[in-house]
Amino acid sequence: MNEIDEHDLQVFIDGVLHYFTQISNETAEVRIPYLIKDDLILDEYTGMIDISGNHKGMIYYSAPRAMLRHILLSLGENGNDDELYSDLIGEIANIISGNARRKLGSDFNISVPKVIRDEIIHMMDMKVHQFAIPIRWKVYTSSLIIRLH
Amino acid sequence: MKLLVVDDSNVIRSQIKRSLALNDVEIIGDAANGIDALNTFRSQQPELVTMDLTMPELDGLHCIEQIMAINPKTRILVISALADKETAIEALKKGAQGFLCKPFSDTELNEALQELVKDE
Repeated sequence: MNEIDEHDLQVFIDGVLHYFTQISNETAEVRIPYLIKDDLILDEYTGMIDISGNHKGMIYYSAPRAMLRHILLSLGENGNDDELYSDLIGEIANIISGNARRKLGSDFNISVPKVIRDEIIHMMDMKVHQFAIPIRWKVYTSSLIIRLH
Repeated sequence: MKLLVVDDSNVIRSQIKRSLALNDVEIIGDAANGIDALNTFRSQQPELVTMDLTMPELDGLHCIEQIMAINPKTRILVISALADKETAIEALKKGAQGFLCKPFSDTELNEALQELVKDE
């Protein structure tokens, strides 16, 4: 099993930047990643991807409803309901995780996304490296959370 | 030409339908997993398919294999977040003719589909 390092984190940061540039022609701002040491309160919608293979753990992408509404509009989608927001947050988590295989290789296996609402991640296993990467796009802040070992 | 859109994300299926700007391509259906895709493929017999890879029930690579077993002349454009070279090569070996990585723009989608149908 490979340990996650700063180069791996950069792969995910690049994926986030690419996603927002592609959907909106507007660059997202990635703030300084930090190690998570306490329980983490997630945003309204969170997409989760199980990782297996050469890394093991979870990737989460968590965002507020208002931001997802704005992303949907950027994609030309005028619908406005929970099902669409859940679909979108799962798809963003899938895209960021799947794009990481360009650098991390095909043994970086990703699951289909699961979606959770308004939850707290409990930091029970402190042996796992857990990073949060704050992402600012337009007036919104979301988080990419990486728990890999 | 008849097009079937396969992706487990409703947002992506809608994006593909909205973005399509090829006069000679008509969307005849969509599916959210490989099983539904095969059922629609058998009943509608599309010449073109856009295919996601990471899906529940039956994933895209297995679905491509089964579609090619039914009709090897089908033209399949994989549209996936899986950005590694090995996955693209595997999809092409199974019978896909093109690979478009998510996230994609309207222009990229139409260019990729145009490439697929240009010899028709």
